[in-house]
Amino acid sequence: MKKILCPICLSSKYIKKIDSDYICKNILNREVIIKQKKRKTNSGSSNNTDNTDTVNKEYCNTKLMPRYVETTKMHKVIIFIVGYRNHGKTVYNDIMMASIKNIYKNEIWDGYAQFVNQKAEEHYSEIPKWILNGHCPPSTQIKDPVPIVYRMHNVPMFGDIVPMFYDVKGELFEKLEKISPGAKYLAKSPVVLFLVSLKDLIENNNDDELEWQDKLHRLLQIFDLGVCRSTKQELVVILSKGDKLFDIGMDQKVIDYLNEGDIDVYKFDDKTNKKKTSKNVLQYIENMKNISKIIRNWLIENKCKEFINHADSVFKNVEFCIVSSLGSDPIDNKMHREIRPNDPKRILDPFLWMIEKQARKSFF
Amino acid sequence: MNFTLHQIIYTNVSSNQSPWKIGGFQTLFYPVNLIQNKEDIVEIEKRIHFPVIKDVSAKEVCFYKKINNEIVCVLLFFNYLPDEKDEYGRDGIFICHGFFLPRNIWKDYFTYSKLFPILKKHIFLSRDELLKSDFIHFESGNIEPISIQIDNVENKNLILPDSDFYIKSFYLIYKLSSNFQQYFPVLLIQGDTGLISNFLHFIMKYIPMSNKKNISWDTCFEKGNLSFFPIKIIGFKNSSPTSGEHIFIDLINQKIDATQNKHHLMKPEIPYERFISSREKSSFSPNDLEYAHCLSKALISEQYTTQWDNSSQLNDIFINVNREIIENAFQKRTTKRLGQNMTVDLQNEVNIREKLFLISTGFQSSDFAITIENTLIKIEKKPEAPKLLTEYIIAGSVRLKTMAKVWDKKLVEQHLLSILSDQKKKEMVNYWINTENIKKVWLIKNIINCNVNIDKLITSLIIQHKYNTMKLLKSGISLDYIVISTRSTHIYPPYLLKILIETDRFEEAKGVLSISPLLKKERRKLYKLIKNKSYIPFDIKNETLLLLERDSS
Repeated sequence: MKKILCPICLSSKYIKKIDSDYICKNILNREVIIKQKKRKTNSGSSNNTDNTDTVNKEYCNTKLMPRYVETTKMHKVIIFIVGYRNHGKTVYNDIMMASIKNIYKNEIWDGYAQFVNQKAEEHYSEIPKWILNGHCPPSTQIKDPVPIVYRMHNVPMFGDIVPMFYDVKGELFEKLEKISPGAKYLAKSPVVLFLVSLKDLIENNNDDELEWQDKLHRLLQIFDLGVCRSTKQELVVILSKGDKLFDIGMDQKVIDYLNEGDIDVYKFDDKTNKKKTSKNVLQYIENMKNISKIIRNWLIENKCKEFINHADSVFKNVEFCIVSSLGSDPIDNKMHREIRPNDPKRILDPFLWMIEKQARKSFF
Repeated sequence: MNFTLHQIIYTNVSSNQSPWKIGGFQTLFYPVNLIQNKEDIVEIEKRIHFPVIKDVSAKEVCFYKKINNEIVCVLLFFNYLPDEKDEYGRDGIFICHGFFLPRNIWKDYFTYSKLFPILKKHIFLSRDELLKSDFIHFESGNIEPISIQIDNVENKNLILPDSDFYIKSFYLIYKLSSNFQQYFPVLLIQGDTGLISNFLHFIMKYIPMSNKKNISWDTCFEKGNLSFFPIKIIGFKNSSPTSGEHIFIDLINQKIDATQNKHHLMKPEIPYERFISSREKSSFSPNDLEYAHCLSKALISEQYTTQWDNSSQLNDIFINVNREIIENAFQKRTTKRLGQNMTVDLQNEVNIREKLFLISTGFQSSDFAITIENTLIKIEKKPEAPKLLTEYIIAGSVRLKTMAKVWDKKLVEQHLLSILSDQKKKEMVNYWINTENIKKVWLIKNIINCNVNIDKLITSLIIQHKYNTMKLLKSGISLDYIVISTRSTHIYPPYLLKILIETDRFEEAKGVLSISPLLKKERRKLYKLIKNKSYIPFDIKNETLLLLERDSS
């Protein structure tokens, strides 16, 4: 038996090798039935009880690819995005995966990406279709997702990384009662990604609805109440559809940072990459931290202090970043052309935050 | 018959099209008076999922749920709306139209293949059609029920195909429906949604009504994660769902793939499964299946029914294929009730049909008591632990009650005996003679109470105990009772008298039982012998019987 994180049940206990297959033997459900047996005492007048515990277990039994099991010592990065409907979770997920492919294909990073589960293999060929024809993906239906698992070879400074992408429907985060049972995944992830499109929050604000600041806070409140967490997590808030944020008065430094964020910015041309102390990567992360501070201040200035106070109290750290998955606004859910590698802006910033936070123990 | 079915609608609309003022996928309309607990809606929504994949434009989901303290069958029909978009212009829109079938329909009038075409006529195939419908009340979010007409289930003959694939599939689904084991593996069925639907409808014909409530299915759950999905029979077209234990059913190639440790699930382990696959009868009616299922339930889980049909041909078929299971169940259950020794006797003496009858009716007092008394009388044996025959069992039969009194050394009341026929009385006396110590006064009193021809009794007494009595007398041990019969051709009484006089043991006896008429000479002798003793007559029956018992005072 090997210990490895199962991407389906997110437990890291037992992976059993049966013949040539690796099967996850983590327990999904455990039901303890307490049987009470009545026992007469010698006097016969009173009854005592014997309790017998019977434990029924249901195992995960997911079959894992040998290539995934080999990644035992690699960092697993769980990417599970929380956000409202149509704020761009699926688009961001898909573009991030496509960018990961592009980043190796265009020799920005020196290595390769490899799919290590069946879902990733199916997705590998499916992503380019909508990206190529520029037609945004349909609304997501999945409540309890099967992740897409990649293996990223030789990520600058961090080495080999195994990202696991979980995509769920936005309706889950609109009402407290809908958030379960997919919340199990959220609870197990050390870092939570909130994805919000501030423009959509502001524009879709009907008279009878909450103000956009309250909607932002509501997402946190639903998460905080609906997800039972045993340890404090870290939070990264992604401001999606960043190309629209200029209209609502986002700080110019942030807009500039976004506009300069082609895929080439991730070319950390540094010979010390493999030494885990790449100066360029550290510099980039430092930049991200600065941007995070600016966004935080901007939100405070725009009456989001309650959200930030709440987030600071329930998370270990709260960081902010900005992305634009498509680079420009689609019309009728369709881009005027195919999406090219340089269209998405700062697309891997959240990913770098995830790696930085999830792998920090080893590197910092 | 006409029935009223409540409806539920789940689809994607913008917030101004929703009675609840929210956009996106949601339960748009439901019977607000029927479902007052919002958690019921959340539970239903957990089962709503439509994968947007090529070539799948419709699917169905079926499950059973308790709503307002009644188990209803929830049928959900999904239709993909490829030309419709959500408020953001995105694809992936579908409409899910569900119906709640009340218990009286799914219990008595329900065959999926018959009902589905009727319901499909009422399904909304677009959001416009729905929003223009007269059934909906936009202000309250309520949707009015529909009215349908269904004929009773046809009593036509059902023939399970002689195909390994179908038989094994039936075993799997039946076991799943019987809660055969905790955490039953998910049944993954690969094929077109239409094929899966037809396949399930076909197999469902052989699943008894009472078991159907444990079944739930979804004909397309492409690429889904089964970890938290509550449905147990899952269809898919190309990409299998993940997680959990599962058995893979390939509809196209008609193959079932399961790991070695699940092979037993594809074997006929439950009596009902053996019955269905017995091939001793070419076809069954739905009523046959229900009857066999009741017998099976009684054998497996001690859930009893009173529907025993003694004349049914099915009993013999059922017995032939389940002989061993019946024997084992009978042994186990009689041991629990009567202990090991009496179980062995019953096991040997009771025929298998009667065993099945007792099992299926839950060993009801009246039936079980008669079986016990008949067996005891037949084998002429007293139970080693009569106390195991509880009041409940004994109460089921007068004769067993009478016998129990004798085992307790009590006098049997006359009114109990008067109910019995002469034949039964005789059988009982014979039983006593052969099982009890005849010297006991309470036994003789009981025999007298039985009002049967006493000659046979006395003869038996003498034959059985002649040598014993002699021996006892000679060795100086006192007798409790002395029996004298002049009618008997046996030489014993005069000889006994002689011995009594000679050995002077007579005085130690508690009583004398005499069969009249004694000869004058003999009577005089007897009276002379007892004249100084204070014996009192106990009973006289037509001057033929005299029992003298010593006055204890």
